[in-house]
Amino acid sequence: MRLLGISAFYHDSAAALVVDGQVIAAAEEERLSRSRHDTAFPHKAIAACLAAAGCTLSELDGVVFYEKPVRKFDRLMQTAMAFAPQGVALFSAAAMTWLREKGFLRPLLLRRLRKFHPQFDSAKLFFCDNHIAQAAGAFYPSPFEEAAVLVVDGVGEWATTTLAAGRGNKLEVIEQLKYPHSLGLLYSAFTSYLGFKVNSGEYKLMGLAPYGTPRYAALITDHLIDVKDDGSFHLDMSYFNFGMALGMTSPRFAALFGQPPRQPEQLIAPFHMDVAASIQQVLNDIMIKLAEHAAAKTGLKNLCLTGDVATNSVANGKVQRAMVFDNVWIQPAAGDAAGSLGAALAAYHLMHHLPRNVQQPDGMKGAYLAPSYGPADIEGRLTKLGAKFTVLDDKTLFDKTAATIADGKLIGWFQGGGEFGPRALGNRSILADPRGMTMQQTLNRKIKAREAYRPFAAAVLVEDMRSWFDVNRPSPYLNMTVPVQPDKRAAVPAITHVDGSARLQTVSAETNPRFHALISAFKNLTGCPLLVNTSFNARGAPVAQAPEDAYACFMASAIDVLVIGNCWVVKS
Amino acid sequence: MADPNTPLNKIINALRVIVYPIVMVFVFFLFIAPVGLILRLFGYRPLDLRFDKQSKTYWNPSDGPITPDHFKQPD
Repeated sequence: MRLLGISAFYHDSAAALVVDGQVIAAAEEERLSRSRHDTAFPHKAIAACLAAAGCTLSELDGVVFYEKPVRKFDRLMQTAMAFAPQGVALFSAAAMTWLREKGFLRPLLLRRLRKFHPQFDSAKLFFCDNHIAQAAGAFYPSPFEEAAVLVVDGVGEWATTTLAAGRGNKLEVIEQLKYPHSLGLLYSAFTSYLGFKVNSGEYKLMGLAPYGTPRYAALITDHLIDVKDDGSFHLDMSYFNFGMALGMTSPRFAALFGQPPRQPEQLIAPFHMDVAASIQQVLNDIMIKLAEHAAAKTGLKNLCLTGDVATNSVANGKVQRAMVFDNVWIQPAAGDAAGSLGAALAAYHLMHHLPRNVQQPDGMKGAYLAPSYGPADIEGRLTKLGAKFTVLDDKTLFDKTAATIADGKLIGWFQGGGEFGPRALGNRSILADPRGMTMQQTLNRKIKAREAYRPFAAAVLVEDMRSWFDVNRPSPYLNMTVPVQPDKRAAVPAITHVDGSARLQTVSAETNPRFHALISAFKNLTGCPLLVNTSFNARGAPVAQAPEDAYACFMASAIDVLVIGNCWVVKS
Repeated sequence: MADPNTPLNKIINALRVIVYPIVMVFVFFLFIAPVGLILRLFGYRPLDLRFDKQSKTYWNPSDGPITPDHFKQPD
């Protein structure tokens, strides 16, 4: 059975193809369309998924959309009525979007799908509740036969937080928290207050937090959010605007903290760092309470986490280290993108009641689910671009790349299939030596053109993880922040954050043999079993997907060498 | 298919940008706001905005099991 899942029209459109319960291909539209956070119908991602499976749309058994648009419209109307006569601007903007496209989603989707196949049968178009899709996208590819599932994000249709339990091919929603009470929206409100862009600047807030002291945490829990012992919470909406205006916070919010919202170009002061530290601590504490409640309510030993909030690697690390559950698995494309995957998997198991085959280490294939390019294809594309390159055998390639990194150079590393999700996991990465004192600032300034304080992730050989990081389990998807072992911090300043932590990817030979071989070569040369790993993109651009994207980024940036497959590409 | 860049279509699109928000403002103040205010007057709460330090939980129970029918409609 072949099912295609789609997410679209909010942020991070994506498509995923599930064949007989296995994830065959998945891609975010932005990597293929080259439009950051692309919200459009994912034409290119669908085409890529169909190409990977070698089938046409007419051969599919169904297409599943990742949310229920009528329920979302109901939220819009109820919210407008709850806050009226305030909220006219928000209602007007939202209603316009609904009139243009979302209000007629079924015919709109059919029109788009019929561009692939004019006779596409409307009876094959299905819809799945957003949080059910997300929960399915976390549980079914996880390595667990049974698990509690937490979906924590901004908002789906109504739900903002969902506790579910997965057993075999069954998934049962147990409890939910509903709009407007949302951890995702709370964190985004602080993102906005600190002068960062909502839905993309949350990473900046998280990176800023370790520089501050959480002196406002009690103020937040006393006034903004009431958190119960079971992790459930409500926001005091008099401090927030997102229900009734286009902004996130009300004047009362700024009055509570005694400072106006930071403007984007304004200098970051210790006050802003303290506010960031405070909301991060509040988030960490609530996530642990939610995990404790999930464990008590379900009696299960494993936890699957997903939703936009599950991209907060600091909170994820705290949940893992709290040891509430024996095992924690986090969907690598947590958020809307995984909603596409989850919608297809939910339909497979919950609509068709087909059995589940649990895979180890999980069913995500390392998240390398986006299109890949063969050696001849890569060489042809590079030749067409006029690139100067030589083709090396594997051993020479790994040794030469490792030596170049050890020499302080920056490498653009492009191998195999692209990653599904927001993070580069060693197939579309910029790699550097973690030992250099100035490497963090060099990368931030020369490549990313972003704030100097923002940290970089580490890709470490899985067999060396414990000697370099305080971690008990592999973390293959860069979605947990963990302490660097105290005696190693000075050795790897480029990945060690100000609080001694690092965002970690453990690399295994089974999941990514070429990346593992490269880091091993670097270890043989230097004794250091890790590299700096950052996404292969310039500021504001999507991560590279095709060789042409990588080459354009390489030529326009300070990357010294580009490695695509076995091709060693230089600038002159 | 009609060319979206013809002068007539450009004028229509420009009018939409101006007219739609005005229509939405009328819809809001003539329908949404009065209905919302009346419903709230009679005790209906479209959103649960309680901020109740005394209550033990804010969790809402599930709507029930997920059945095959769940997938068939957009509502």
